[in-house]
Amino acid sequence: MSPHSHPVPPAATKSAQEFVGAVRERVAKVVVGQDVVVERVMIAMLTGGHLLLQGMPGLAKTLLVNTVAKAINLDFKRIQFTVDMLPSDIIGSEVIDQKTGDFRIHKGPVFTNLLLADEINRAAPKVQGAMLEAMQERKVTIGGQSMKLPTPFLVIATQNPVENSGTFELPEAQLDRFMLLHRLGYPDRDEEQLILQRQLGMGLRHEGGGAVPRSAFDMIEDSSVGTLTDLVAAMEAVQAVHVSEVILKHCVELVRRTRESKLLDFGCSPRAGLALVNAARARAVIRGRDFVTPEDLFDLAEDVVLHRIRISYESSAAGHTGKAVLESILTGLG
Amino acid sequence: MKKTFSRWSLGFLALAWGLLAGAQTPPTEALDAKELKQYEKLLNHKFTRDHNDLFSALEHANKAEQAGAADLRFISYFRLSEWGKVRSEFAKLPPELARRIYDKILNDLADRQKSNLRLEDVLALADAVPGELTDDELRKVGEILGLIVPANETYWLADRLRAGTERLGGTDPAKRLLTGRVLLAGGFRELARTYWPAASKLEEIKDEGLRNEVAAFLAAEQANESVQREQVQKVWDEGLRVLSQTKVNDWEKTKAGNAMARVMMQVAPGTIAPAFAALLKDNPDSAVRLVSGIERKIQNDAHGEVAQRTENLRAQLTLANLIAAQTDLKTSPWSQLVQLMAEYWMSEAENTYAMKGNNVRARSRSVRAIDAEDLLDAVPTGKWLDSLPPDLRDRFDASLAKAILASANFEIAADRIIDLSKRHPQTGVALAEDFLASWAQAHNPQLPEEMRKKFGLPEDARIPITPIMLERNIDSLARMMALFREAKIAPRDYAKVVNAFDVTYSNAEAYRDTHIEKVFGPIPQLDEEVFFLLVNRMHSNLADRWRKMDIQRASLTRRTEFETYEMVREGYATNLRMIDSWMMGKTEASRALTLAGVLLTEWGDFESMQELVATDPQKRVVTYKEKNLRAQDYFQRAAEAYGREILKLSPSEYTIEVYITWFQCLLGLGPSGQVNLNKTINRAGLAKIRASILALPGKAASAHMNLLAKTLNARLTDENYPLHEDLKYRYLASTLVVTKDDPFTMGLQKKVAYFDELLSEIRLQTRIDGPNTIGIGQEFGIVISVVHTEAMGRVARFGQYLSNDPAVIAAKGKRRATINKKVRETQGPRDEFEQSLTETLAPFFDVKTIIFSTPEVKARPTARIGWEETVLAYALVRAKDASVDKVPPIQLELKFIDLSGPVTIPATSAETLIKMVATPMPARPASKVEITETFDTRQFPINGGLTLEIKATANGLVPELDDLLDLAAFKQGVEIRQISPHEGLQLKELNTWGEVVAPRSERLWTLTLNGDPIRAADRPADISLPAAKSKDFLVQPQTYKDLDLVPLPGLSVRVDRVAAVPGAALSVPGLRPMGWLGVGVVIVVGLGGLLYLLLSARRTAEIPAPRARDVFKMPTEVDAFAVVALLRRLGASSLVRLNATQQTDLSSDVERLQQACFGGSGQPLSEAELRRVVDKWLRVIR
Repeated sequence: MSPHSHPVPPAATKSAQEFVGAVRERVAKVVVGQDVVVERVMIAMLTGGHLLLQGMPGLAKTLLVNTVAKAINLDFKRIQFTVDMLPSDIIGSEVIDQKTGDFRIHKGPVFTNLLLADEINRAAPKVQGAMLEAMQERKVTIGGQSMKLPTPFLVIATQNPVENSGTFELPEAQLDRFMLLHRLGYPDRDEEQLILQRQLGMGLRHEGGGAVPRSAFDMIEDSSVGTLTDLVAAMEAVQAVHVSEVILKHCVELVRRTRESKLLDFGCSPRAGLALVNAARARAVIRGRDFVTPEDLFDLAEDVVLHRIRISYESSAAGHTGKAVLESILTGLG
Repeated sequence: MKKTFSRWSLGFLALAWGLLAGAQTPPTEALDAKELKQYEKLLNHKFTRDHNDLFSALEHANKAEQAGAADLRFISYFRLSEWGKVRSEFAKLPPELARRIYDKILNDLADRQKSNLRLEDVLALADAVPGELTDDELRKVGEILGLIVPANETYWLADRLRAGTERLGGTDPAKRLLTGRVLLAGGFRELARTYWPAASKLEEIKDEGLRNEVAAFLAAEQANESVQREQVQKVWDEGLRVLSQTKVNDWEKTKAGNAMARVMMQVAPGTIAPAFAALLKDNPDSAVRLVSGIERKIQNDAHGEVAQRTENLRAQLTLANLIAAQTDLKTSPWSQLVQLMAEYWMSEAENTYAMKGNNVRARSRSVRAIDAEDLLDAVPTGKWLDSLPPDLRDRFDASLAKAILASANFEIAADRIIDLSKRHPQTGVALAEDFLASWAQAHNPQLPEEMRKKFGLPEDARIPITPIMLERNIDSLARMMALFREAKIAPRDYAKVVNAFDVTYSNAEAYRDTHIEKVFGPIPQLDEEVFFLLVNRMHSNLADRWRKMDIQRASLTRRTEFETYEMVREGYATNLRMIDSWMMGKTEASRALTLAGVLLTEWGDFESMQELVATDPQKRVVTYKEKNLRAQDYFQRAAEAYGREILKLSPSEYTIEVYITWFQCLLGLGPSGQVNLNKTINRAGLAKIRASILALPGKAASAHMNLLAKTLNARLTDENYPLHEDLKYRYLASTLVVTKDDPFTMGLQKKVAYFDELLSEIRLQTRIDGPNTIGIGQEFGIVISVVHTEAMGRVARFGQYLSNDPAVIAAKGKRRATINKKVRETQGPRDEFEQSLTETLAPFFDVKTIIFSTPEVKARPTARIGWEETVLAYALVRAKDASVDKVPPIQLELKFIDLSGPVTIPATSAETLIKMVATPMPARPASKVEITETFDTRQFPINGGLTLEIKATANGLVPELDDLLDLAAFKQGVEIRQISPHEGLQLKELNTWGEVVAPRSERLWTLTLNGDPIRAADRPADISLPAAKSKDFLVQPQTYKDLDLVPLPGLSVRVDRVAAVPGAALSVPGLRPMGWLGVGVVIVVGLGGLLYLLLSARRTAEIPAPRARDVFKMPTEVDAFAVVALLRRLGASSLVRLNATQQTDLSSDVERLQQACFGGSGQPLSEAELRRVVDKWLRVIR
């Protein structure tokens, strides 16, 4: 291979890239922009991690996740977290069968492939704890019976960063359970215009003699572009991605520097390093590579690291931000 | 075979034993003699279930269980209705003993009128019988049922038996037969009949004895009915026989008449008329006795059951019609008899009407009312009615109208009343009132008490009145009233009319004048009494229920706060319009004018004080004053009108209503008990009251003044209900303004002298913060302070008015609330003071800010020995227009304690004159002016943005920007795009300790500068920041280094053209390495001739631009990661300008490095190779 030529990915990586590309294409038909978010969703899916999306309402989070689920033919459920929820509302509970008089297990919405946990910070800590435990262990215990969650099992949680009243902020230890925390931004001017244009052409949906205006949800195609087998193959391709020594070394260095920084109260756990490498592998596959490059690390560092560090009060008072500290650490790496 | 035999033989033996055991029915467990004896004791026990027994059993339940005494245990089970256990106990006993005990229980229970058993208990007891129920037991069970189930509540007994128990009820024929016998024994004959077969099916009963019993019952039933009929007829016939005979004594005849009367309504209908006709023909005296018998029965049953009395009325009607048809009703004794009959009917009608209405006394009577419909069915008509003498006929018509009213048939009742009023106007009037009361009651949305209690509704539960209902009610009432007016029936008690009108409305709905006119006729023609009742009712409703949001919610009106506010406003306007309209053409209308004054005062208070809508407070004050001025005008007119009215009055008819109401409104005392404590002493208004009284003719003036003085003095000296502390002084001072030296208020003079003495040591004052000549539109300050003696400073504790101290508020809350609270609540004394200041100054000035001294404020010495000044507040204001020539007197309520308790004395300042001029005046005095100029270049490399933030603080008011800095010179260096003044002048604190009392003020401006020319230029530009206009002003220039502010050495700043690098920090002049300065010096020395530049740059700052070669350097530790990262940053940096070929080359290098170093199959580059790559690109960017 010529050192100047573009590397040709192996077949597994290529098909995985095509699979992800097809999903992205399907999502793009419904959701305008948010390509990075789709990529993050796919990274989480390919690595078996969980994703926390932080952004304002109305940024098509639900639509996006719904579309991804349909595109891969995955079971999808959505939970709107509220303050009065109980753990049993999520994981399920034992209910008595009126006919037989016996207890039977009623499975909660957590039994799905793709779970959208909307506004997770609205739920009481007890409920958050139950949810995060299920995410971590991938099994739940109902009425003394331990039950495995379906595979794949991916949680995409959302939280609104501007509302504090009536919310319970996720503690750092629980945030750590999320492989990625992606901060959603507003669409740019052209994207926003395209959203409006799309809406104009949607027309009405007729139902039983009545009609309602179509929404973007009506645009989601029922057919899938991939199957669970394709997903598993892509996951396998991720596992085959090469991570060089030097990348690992810098990855460790990045994590260690967050712990050593005097501007931070605490840095990342080893889980951050694992998440960063895994996510970087998935990103490499999505980009059609079978090896990880520094760019993968730089691109994902913010989503992997930022929610795992806490800036100290003094440095915050001095005007530093977590993002700036991370940037300075990354700059110092190379 | 053997095995089979043995199995069969064992089974047989078991069966045989079982049968034997069943035949013997021995106790399941053998009882010892002791236990048997205990059970036998029960035969002597009296089985009762009184409350005491029950509670005793509950208390000893456990003990009885544990004690082991069988009799006690049994009794406990019996009393606690544990019938299952009772059955178990019976099962233990020998059958005979069990039966005896069971019978004892039944006998004991049947003997008591109140057995305290429930239906379920009796049925369970029947089920608990050891063995089968005997005839006697069946009878006893029936008797007990008869005792506990009221005859008129057999339905639930029927329901329960329908469901069936172990031994009774249900569908089993045998059990049904038993049930019939039980019911028969209990007196439930009707119910019993349903459980027994019809006579035709008697053959189906196998048990002969039982069949005979049922047959006998059915026969007896039939026999009873026919016997009853026969007996009634026999009594009637016998009575008729006795009455028909001539040789029977009077006593016998009377007895016969009475007996006939008793059965009259039960005999065959066809028999009465011929019998009575025969009696009339042959024996008129006997006919009279029959009628007398009925009337006697009526009298005897006067307090009886409704059904009986209704039957009597019907019997009376039958006889009256017979009498009317067959006799001359004008002859004696028939005329007297039919009149008596009519009287009886009338008494029942009155009773029904009274019971239907709200007549509490009538309702407390035990006699229940006959239904109005039944009454009207038995009403005298035809000849009977025509025969009544006129006076009785009128009374009868009145009663008839009431009966009709009781039946809620108002249209017919109105016709009757009008008809009657033609003959008997007084009766018509009385009935019209009754009509209105009934109408009001029938339309009253307030739920009757019994219904409210029945459904557990709150006390104020009302039936909501919808707009449609309202219109319908109004139409109905208007129609009736029009009929009455047409018939010239005017009610005596107009309160009833107004009540009737009031109930047509929902609680939450203000009256509309259109409705008033519809019901009562044109307002100018309203009767005085009706008019005042209406306007007073409106007035009290406006002050109370119509403005309450909870009533609006309870009435389901869905009105918002604003809509409620608008409705009340419209209500006040309507009320005033009504008064104005009614007064037209009337000269003597002091009462109405006074009421108008009160209404306007209250309206003003409402609009000013209510918090329903957030309107401009200053506008509210103006509206409030305007309403009060109009109120004063009305009061003045009322006093003048009274002055004319008095000419017709005798001294005993003198009233001070106008003056006292006027006085109270001036003080803020509303008739509904609310007090507006924000009102100050209105000496001008009080003087008008005095002048009005003194203007009265002759001795009337002094008489009225004395009367007023006496009344006011009595109020002031009332110890049971003392005046509110905030009101005390004002009431006192106001009284003396009106009465002056009146002998009845002489005692008050001493009190007010004491208060005035206190005030003589306190002077509230206002002064301007500089010259009194002020330019129009110029802001200036008013200093509010108290000048006082040193001693008074200690006593008065002025600091208490400068905080909303919770302790002060709490203490205030604990005081006895003699009068209602202030209309608008405040948080504490400082809020009250601020409110007072705002409301006083608002009509003249735009009040920008009011700043208060701290509660710990120290008094300042004054030129007068022994006197001090305590500064309270500083108000930053701007005059509204050129006509403002003074600071109005302001008021502070000082709190003291005298012998009668706490008292609030208002201290008032004198007016302070000011002069407004059109020419601009110098800025207000300010000292210690400090200006901070912050030059911000952080956005300059990005978008060319330059800003200059100017913050100025001063003792006194910070002058305008043009007065502070020389902007003209500054503009020559750089263009100012925009000046943002932010919030304008801000007062930070009040400085009361310096030489001059002044607030510490602050202003902030942001100047947006045009940096584009500097950016476009090739050379750095020097900018001179604006200099101060006065040498007394201290200027501090500064700039940013990253997020930190650093001082600038001088006002001159050099700004260099830099590439727009987002986020690139600019170095601060003078802070770069001194080497730069050294280089500069060398250059200066070398060039010599540029000495001028050197000198001018002595205080010049320089901002160098970052360069790519400074930014991108060989990594400290060279590895593939660091090199790739560097190349990527380099490619993305705006500091580096690569052509297309170079960009492609760079991408290839990155790809090559990545593939080689990070790809699994590649050959990693050595450090030397990596260094070469880096060197290559660092050379390119140089």
